[in-house]
Amino acid sequence: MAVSIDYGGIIKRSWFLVHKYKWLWVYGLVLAAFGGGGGSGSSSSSGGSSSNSTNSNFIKNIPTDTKGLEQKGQQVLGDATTAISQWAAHVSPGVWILLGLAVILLIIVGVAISIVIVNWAKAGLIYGLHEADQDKDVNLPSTSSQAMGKIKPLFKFSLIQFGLFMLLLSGLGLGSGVLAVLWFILSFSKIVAIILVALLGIALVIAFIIFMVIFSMVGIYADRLIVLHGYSSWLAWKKSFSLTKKSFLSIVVMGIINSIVGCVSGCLFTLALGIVLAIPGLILLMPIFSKGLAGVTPGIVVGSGIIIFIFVQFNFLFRALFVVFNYSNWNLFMDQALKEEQL
Amino acid sequence: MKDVSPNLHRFIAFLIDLFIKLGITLGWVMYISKSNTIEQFMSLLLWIIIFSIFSGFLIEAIITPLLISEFGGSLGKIITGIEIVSTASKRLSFWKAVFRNYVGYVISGIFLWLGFIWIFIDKDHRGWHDLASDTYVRLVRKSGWIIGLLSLIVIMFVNIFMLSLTIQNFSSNKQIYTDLFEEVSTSIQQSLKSTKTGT
Repeated sequence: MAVSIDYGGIIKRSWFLVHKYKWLWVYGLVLAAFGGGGGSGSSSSSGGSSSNSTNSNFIKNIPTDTKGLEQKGQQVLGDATTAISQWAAHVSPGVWILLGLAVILLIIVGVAISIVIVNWAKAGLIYGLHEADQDKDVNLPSTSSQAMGKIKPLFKFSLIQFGLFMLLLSGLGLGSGVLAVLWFILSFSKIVAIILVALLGIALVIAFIIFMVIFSMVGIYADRLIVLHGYSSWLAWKKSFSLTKKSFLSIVVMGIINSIVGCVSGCLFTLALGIVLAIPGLILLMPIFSKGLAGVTPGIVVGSGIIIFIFVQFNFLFRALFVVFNYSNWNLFMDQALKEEQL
Repeated sequence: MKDVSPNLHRFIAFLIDLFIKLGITLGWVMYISKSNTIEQFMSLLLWIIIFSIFSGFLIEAIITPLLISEFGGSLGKIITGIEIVSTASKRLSFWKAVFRNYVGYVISGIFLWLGFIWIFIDKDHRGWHDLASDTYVRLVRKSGWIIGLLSLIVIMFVNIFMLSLTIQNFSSNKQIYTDLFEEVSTSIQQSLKSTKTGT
């Protein structure tokens, strides 16, 4: 279940590779932008999110008296807006269908481009890190040409993963169905029903989580087997699954280390960037906004926009560096795991 | 790499392509600006959105890569006398052209447009999109920049002419848009007020 891995050595070497091979940052930027930054499958971001609390406040603020609003709206609406609503009612369904098709086309093109970009960047980064680890010259043309040839097998592999994930979801659905049937069958004794359904439900959720973790681990190995060892998608899946079984605990440890490094460094970097950009910005802007919007000039708006833009871009760059670091950790980890397996 | 295109040629070619696209967009806006009722305006807008998506897809995903693989570049590049070729000095395949135009441009623009700025830094004037797709831009006609510049001036004049017509049309139908704007802003203000007071 566990192989002997030199985690300290991996982290040190990864940091060196990230620092030395700056062309790899381009791949990191692409993966950070398109959400493929978890080494594969298991994504870990450097920043936090407060969307839940915002959402709950938003929900509280949604007016419930929609009938009243409708009436108010009708009072406010004038000739032009009435004309628009009348126009919308008279547009033939064929035109809306055409608009829908156009939007679907846009979505399909967008998804196709992002699939190609993510798989290209994954392959380029894995290959580039492998070359860098052997102290070879790494640049965009040499890594990109290799990456282009791996887009198709990586995509095929993601389809296999998706298919298996859907199968897992169906299993979860089926399990929930069985639990519901049990609940009705055992209705004569509520206590027995509650205990049994709760236990089985927990087991089902735990099993689902374990399978998801295994999926991520298989993804980490398989991407590298496809890119570095020329495995076909299905063979890569099988081999990765067997490797995952052998080194389950070691992968978990590596994943935890990656998450901790990402979280701590992400927080520290955002804090540092905040001290450098946000706090001086706030000190400068607070007196202006304290008088309301009267003192706001276009220059202030543009200046604030630039500060926010720089903040976002540098945060993005940091995430990119972390992606490269993360991928490097997994690359080096797999090298050691494979060597252990051969011994 | 032989006969690498100077940045001037590339810049003129870029501006030609930009103003052609801008001209097409302005053409649509000019067409809408003629409408003198809200219903007509909305109908035209809807059709233009639909048509823009389909034609945009046709131009960007099919015609431009075809032009690159068959003639070496977009209209701007052809006029300016430069062409995109592989480092082996061969024309690009259709799919490689798609890769350069879609994936390559995304890569170049991903961080502060550094990939495009790289054209001015690299000794072979290659942006990240060139490096990623293993291509470079080759000079075919040295004097191409003159034809390019003249074409650019003509295209720019057409754009300015269309812009002035569009402004004229919009100002002659000003009342429709100001009415609509006022109604929408009043309705937003009213809703905000009612949300604040909770009534």
